[in-house]
Amino acid sequence: MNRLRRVKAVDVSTLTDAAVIERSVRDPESFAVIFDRHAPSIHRYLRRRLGAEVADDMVAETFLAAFRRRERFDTAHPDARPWLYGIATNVVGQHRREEEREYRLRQAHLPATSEAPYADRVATAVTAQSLRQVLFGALAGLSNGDRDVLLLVAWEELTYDEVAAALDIPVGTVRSRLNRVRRLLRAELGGEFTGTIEEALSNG
Amino acid sequence: MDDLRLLQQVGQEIPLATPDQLAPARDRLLAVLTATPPAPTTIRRDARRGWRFVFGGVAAAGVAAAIVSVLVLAPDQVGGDVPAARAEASQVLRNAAAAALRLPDTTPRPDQFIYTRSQQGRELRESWLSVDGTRNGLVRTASGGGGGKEAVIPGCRNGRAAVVKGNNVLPGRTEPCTPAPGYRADMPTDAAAMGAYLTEHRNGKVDSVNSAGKDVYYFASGYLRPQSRAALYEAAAAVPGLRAVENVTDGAGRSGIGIAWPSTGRSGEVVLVFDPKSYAFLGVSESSAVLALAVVDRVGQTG
Repeated sequence: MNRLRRVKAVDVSTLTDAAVIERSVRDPESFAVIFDRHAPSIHRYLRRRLGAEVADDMVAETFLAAFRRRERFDTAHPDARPWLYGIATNVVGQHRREEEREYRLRQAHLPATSEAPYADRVATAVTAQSLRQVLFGALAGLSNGDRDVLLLVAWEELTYDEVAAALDIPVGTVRSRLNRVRRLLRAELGGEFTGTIEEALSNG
Repeated sequence: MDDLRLLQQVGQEIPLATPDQLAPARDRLLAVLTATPPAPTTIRRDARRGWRFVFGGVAAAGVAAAIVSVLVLAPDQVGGDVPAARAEASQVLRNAAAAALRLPDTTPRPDQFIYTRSQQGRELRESWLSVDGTRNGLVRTASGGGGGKEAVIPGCRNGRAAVVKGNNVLPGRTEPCTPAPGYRADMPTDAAAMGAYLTEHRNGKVDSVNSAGKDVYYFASGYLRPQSRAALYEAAAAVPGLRAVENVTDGAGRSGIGIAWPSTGRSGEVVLVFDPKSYAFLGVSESSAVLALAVVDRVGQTG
């Protein structure tokens, strides 16, 4: 109910995602509201994982797939985000090569459109080549399931319950995957980099 | 060292897409939407497992008679008996209920509009919703410095509404509709009935306190007659596990006392913000604010 928009006839802006999706079964065009509410963040998720060019196409694929499956949406969940993230993650799964390529690219380069105003000093410090190398190298090397959980939590800020719903796995599996992947990540980032990170974070 | 935070920092290098960037994808989707015929299918509802009412503990609340006059949102000082700073959540909500009863009572007429001015993040939004859903309404939005947008909400008369494409009403074209009243005339006026009403109209799981909080927010940010508003807060006061949080700010930066609705997830606790003196409902912590709420005679009128 925080994300408000509107379309015709009813002030759909006051409806939950679930109510809009339910409505879109008999009024397909109202599904545009779901796009307007969530496409910016789904696009960013796809762009984070697949790069800008692929994301532009895949955000349309994601919402078209969601629209085709709208009758299967469980309206007990008012918020469509976990569902959409699940579909987007499936789309990512069909593009593993692009995903790995994206992480390899970002190991070396800041994206051209880096959001400088929002990047605080920590972010600046974190962009140090050495850390980027290790972090994106680690991401590229993770198993698919571990990486899905990690990035839905760290980048998309989904709750464990939401990740479980998105990936259709038990919440216990979310926890255990996250624990494992964070141990891996810490091990890779540890040692010589620990000091740099602590310095970067404490100065932030 | 926090590996998640480190990861978040590199994630922030990628900005949210702008509407321009998304336009081609939106066009692709819309082309499919407009070409899809409506399907008279029902969507499966979640089985009513674990039937446990968040609002189950509501006792009947005595409500006093209310005064009739012109409407404003914020009541005057209410002289609450418990200082907000040290209050229990339930006491804050009961104070809010008592304050609500001192609000002027207006019964919206079917031909009137509910005017709302609110802030959602950086978006400032004004809406005029037809009380009975038969008149054309309007939503006006403006975000941070950027230009504003207006959108007509066609009224639904005799089962037909004007067709809107983008922001334009297509002349001479109508489509089937169901009126969407901007005011619910059937809202209960006592706490027990309100608890049942909230359970029946819930949007989340029956046993989710957090989503019950969002439902309370949803109803509190619309127009309610004083007795219904009081009943809403009384029903909320009976929910176990709520916490009062001092010194929170609503989406417009106004400070107040928060009522936190616990979440079983890792984040996403809903905190409803009330004015610490008048106990008027302000909004949701750090995300939204109800700035004005009034019953008006025509679109464009702001109180």
